[in-house]
Amino acid sequence: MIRRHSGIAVILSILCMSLAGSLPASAQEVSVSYSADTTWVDTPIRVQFMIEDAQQIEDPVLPDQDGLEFEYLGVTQETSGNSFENGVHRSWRMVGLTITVTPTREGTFEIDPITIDINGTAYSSSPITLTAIAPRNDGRVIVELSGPERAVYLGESVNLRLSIWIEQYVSEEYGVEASESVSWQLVDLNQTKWGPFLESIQELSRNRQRPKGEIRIRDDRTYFVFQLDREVRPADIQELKNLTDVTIAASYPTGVRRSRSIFNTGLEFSGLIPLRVRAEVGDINVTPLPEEGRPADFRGAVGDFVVRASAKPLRVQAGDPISFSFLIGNVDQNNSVLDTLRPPPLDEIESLTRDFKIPSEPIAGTVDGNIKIFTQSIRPRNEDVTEIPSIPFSFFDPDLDDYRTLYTNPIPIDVSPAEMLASEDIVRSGNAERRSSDPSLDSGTDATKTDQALLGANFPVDKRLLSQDSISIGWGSYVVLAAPPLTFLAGLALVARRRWRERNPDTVRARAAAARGLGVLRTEMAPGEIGRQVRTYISDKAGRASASITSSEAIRLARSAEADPELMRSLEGLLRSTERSGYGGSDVHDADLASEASRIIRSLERCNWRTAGKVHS
Amino acid sequence: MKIPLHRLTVAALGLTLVLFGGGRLLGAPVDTASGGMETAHAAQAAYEEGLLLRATDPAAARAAFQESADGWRRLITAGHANVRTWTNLGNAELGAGEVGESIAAYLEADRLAPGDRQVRTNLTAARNQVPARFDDAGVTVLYDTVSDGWHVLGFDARWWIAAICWVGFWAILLVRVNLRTDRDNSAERSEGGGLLMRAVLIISGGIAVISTSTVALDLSEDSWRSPGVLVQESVVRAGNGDSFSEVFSEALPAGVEFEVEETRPGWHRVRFADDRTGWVRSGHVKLITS
Repeated sequence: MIRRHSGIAVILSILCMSLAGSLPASAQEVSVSYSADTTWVDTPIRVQFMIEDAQQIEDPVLPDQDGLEFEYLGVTQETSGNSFENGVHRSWRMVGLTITVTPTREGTFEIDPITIDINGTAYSSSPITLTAIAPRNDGRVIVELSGPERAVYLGESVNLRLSIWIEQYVSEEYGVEASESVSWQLVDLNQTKWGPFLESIQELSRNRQRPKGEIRIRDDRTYFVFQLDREVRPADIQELKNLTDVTIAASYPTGVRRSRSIFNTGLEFSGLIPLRVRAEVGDINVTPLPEEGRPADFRGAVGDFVVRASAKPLRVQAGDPISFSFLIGNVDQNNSVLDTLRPPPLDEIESLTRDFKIPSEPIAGTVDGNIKIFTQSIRPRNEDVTEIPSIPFSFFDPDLDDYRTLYTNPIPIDVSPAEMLASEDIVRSGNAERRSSDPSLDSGTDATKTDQALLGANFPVDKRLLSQDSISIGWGSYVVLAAPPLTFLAGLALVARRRWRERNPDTVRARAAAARGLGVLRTEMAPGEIGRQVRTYISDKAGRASASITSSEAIRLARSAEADPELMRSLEGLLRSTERSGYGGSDVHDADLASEASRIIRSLERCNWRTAGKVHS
Repeated sequence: MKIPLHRLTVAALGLTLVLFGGGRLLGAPVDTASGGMETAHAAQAAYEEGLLLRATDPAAARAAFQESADGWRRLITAGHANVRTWTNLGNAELGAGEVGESIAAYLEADRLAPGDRQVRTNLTAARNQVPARFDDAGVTVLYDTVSDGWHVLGFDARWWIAAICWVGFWAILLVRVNLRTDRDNSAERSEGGGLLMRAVLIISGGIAVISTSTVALDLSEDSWRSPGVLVQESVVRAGNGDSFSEVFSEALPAGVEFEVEETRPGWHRVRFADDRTGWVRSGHVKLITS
């Protein structure tokens, strides 16, 4: 048996375990500690068993004591480690079991032993004394829940107001007083039973907001009052009672001290009293709606309303749908009323069903601000209908303690006869057209004729019925699309070329000189003619008038075109021999001369005729 | 003799139009050798029988119309999908009392021949038998209204107009350029002739653009529209499941048209003409598809 003492005061007793059985060979170390020996009513203390090296632990056997509530929280702590003792390695495992003990009333209690079975051995704690003190509110926190001063009817919307009065704490020792925000922080939001106000406080919390407190004087004491409003619609009296079950949890200080936290060097509250303050509820009487005078079309609406009606379109053919909207406005501006508000039974209003076809299915309305809109599709039965009649809406008015029925204004509409397609409007062709002239068809009744007229005519049976249509386009379309602009561009290029040639005749002649000369030289000719063709070529390349140059001038021009010396020698030799042949009057055909002339022309093509003078003049 | 360049060009463009204009449509060749013609005759005969029996024996007439519809449907399934077979199918379905199926068939025919007068008239007759109508609103309704204007002319007519004006525009432009070059050379100018040519140029170009646009819009309509029709009474719901609330207080009858916006297994999200949307069972719907 091992006794362990905590170093701090809250561990009040380290009690030995009384053995209920014999000690096992390897005894466990079991200790128990208590978190406090004095506490507030409804504020639990913790009893913790620390068990070392246990193989099997059963749930503890909790005592049943008047004024105390025990709760086993299970394993709340578990650690393990290794150690060496006298050179021997040892592994250990420590388990912590926690039990809470909550006094439910004021007084001094002897906590009975708590027994726990560990590895088949029962261990019990020694009894200790626990003192429970009832927190004294003494008007520090006041909670009020108020509703309407008059009786509330079932189904009526009720506005509830929760007022939390927190006395402003003043420390005369330090000369400080709690601010409004600090006072609100005394409220424990999580421990408080908010009842119907839970949604409101959660919404404020989500938005990082809180109720704004107002400072007020009450019984010569200064309070901050925080208020929350909530609209509820109790369906019965019990529900309203549940709604008013609100208990505020607050920790009110009894003193102020210097903060011991390294992060906060200011003052902090001390001696906090855990207060649980139930709301004081005024008399809220719930009364059932009276049976007397209840209209037949009453659908449970309680409050104050206005009604309107609208329809669209106002000009229709018989049988056509009209979108009829019935609007109910809530004068009291209680949104919860609109949520459950039901429309008047349109399909049971005789003045409406007489002239209109109305679906019997329930319609779901839509809430827009403070108005609920029910839209139904109605169809005039015939062209004699001239208006949508007044629609009644009945509700119970709590202010008048009586039922009221409001009526919408009638809505004039213009209904024309239903359109029937005349026989002449039907396109007929082929066999059907011929069939339509069959006198046997005319023997029917008017109704039959109308039915027949409503049938379209068939296309005649021919091979076109066996084709396959498609509105896709084929390759021809793309050709037609692309060809015109391409042709235009080609034509544009031709026009431009023609204009350029007209403006630059010398260049054109120079470019064509070789082809023209070589072409002529391919035919058999006299040596004199060969020389003339060479001179003409040089004249064209140099931009001179054709055949207007002499041989020496041709040689000079070729030289100025940077012809190499060997080519110059060949040219001079050729021109000389052709001249000689010309003067000699010989007309002997000389194929070698023509071949030499062609070679010279091809060589001259490679010369720089731009430097020869007038090519681009 | 030298032929002027612009005359050659215009002749070439004209030849292009004649040669390739005929290749506009890739229509499948008519297959008269198969049993299609017999099927068509049988379907037509059943339709005429239905017309005759309507006055005396509505049930027999309905059966005859259904037989006719089956025949037209077989033809379409066999590949003979054209304006005529779709229209005849619509007529037979209308006679059999299947307003939704009838409207779906007419819409298929209208898709193949936008604005065809006979199809439109029969479609109107079928629509008049639908007991529910929506107020017109939305982009598609605006498009339908505007497109009705150009659908006065058939698709083929608009294509030919577009092609002729297109070719004419470029030909005139080329002639104008060529003539201006000649005038520059000869220093001759005719103000009146120039203005006339310019006017013709603008008009032909404008008509070509507009006609081509309408043809292109008709061609592209399938890519951005997916119309559909209820072929049986259907409850429109707020979501794609029977557990969702009803959008309308009553079930919509067969024949109500809409545009399909989204498809999920077993359900379509549809937008009606008044821009309201909801989900309908895909089994209650016939989509107009290419």
